[in-house]
Amino acid sequence: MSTATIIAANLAAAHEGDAELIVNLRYSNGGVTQVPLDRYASEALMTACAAQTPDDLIGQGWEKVRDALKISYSR
Amino acid sequence: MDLVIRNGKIVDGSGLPAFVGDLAIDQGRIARVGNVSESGLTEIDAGGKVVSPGFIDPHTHFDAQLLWDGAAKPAIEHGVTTIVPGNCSLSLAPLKADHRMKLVGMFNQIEEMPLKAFEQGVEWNWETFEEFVTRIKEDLTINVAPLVGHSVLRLWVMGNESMHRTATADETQQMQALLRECLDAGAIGLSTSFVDMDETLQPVPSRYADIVELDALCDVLAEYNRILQVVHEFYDDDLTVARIDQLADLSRKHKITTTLSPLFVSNDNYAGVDQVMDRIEEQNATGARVWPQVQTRPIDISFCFAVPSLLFIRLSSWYAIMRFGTPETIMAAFRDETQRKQLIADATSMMPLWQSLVLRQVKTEANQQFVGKTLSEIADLRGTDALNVMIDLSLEEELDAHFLAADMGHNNDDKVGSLLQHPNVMIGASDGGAHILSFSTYGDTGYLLGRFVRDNEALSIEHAIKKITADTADIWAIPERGLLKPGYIADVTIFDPQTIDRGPEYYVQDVPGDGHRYVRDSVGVETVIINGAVAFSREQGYTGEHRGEIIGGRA
Repeated sequence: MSTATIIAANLAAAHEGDAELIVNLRYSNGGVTQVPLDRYASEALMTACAAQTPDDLIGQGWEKVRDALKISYSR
Repeated sequence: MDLVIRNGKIVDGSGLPAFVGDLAIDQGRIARVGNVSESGLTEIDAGGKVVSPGFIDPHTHFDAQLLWDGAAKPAIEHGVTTIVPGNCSLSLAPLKADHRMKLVGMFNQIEEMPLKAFEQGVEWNWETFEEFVTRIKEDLTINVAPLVGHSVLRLWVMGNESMHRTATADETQQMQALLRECLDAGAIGLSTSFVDMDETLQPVPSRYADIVELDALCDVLAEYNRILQVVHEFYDDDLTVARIDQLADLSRKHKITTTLSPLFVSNDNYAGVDQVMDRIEEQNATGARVWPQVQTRPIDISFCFAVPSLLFIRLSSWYAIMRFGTPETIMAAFRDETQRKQLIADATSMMPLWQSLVLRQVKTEANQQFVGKTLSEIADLRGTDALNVMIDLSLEEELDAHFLAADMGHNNDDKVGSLLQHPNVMIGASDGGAHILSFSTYGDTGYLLGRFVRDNEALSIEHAIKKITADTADIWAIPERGLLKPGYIADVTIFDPQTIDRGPEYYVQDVPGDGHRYVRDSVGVETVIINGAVAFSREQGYTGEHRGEIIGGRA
């Protein structure tokens, strides 16, 4: 079972001219990946993690990112 | 000779070193390159200027605009002589009358083409691809190499079912037959998308296709030696790599060229683009033809306070009022002296960003005068600072003031420059004619030749010109264009290498239905010749020549 956690969250510019949040995840085997979150997913993630700023997301588990993406996809 | 260009610095598109010489054009074709002793009916002195093949823009969405503007303005002014519309699974044909409003909705959602522009600028007098091509040929200045969209093929054959399921074997065969019809009528290939959403935020029809359907359509592309264009999952490197593998399989199996667009350099993940390019190199080394398209210009971020923007995510006081507020509470916070003072105090450390923001769009007549100016410039005019201007304008416009933060992504010159010069990269993805209310999609070639050739020297001028002319023509199987070579069709751009650039972005009302869009003028482009005739010159502007051609069909 993977135990990937957020190690960084940064603002980025998306193709369509919107801002998006890029979340970096590190897996238990050391691998790192990035997940771009749109506004809706970012808001859902910040709420789920009770985060005031993106730095508050560091250390949170990947499941919260997955759930935030689900909320964005199903809006 | 009809036309002789003298004493230019000839950059012929081959990649070979530039040389000073003449170029003669007769009956629409290049007659001689080098020393031309005959005189021309028209002569152009190109001393100090570069004479190159006309630029080819392989990723545009000028489909609708071509119905009211056969020059695809301002593309030609920037030196572009051939455009490829119909990207990303969306073309305006083939299209049954019953499906017109569905397609208009998709164009509106994905490309920001206003509904009013379709209502007032489009006479719907076609259904088939051939009828569409005949319609736009009536008044064509620029050359058009049109893709046919996978989503519209599905819509034609499957109707509303195209937005819900995979195709049956019979429907797939019908799509194959329809694609053949389109290619016979002049299409240059097929476009599909694995990413885009329609106006109801549901996947576009092409996303419901399975690999069997795509494979069958590639069979038809193979018959015509034509290209497959794909919008891949550009926001995710792992999915991009998987898509590259799939395209490589299709390319090898059917012996076709494929291209995916767009590929960006993420400032937070330089390794990601390296990973993607490693896979491209690996696949192409084993016989595949998979070309990622990379745009030259940086990405901007647009926002208004009516919609919460992540641009403010690191300013918790601002983000909180945007995220949890309503328009009324946001305006109340801006009006409240104490809250306003606190917001300004929290954001002052980022003053250079606020100063550089450009006012994009307002609804009141009184503030139209400020559109296109930076907040710093407006602040000077109003005797205040940029932050207060941003708040004041938002209040005056009831939060419907739109701002743009320029140069926020895909803006590391070293990384983008090294990608642009990569032998496996196609320079493209301008999106010309799309996103017209968000940002300008014109002038990428001027930006390439100014920023990456003259200023940063990431590419030589010979290399850059080759990549936007002969290479593009080769990849897209466009015959007899892309080189300054005797016998080739005379698409020629003359520009000043010391000044070529894209001009500043501005807002203009020139879209049917009193619509607006963002455009950029060209800088340094002197003369543009299309099919042997001067289509645009700095002195004359557009000359009224309508010699544009449809490029496509069986290669």
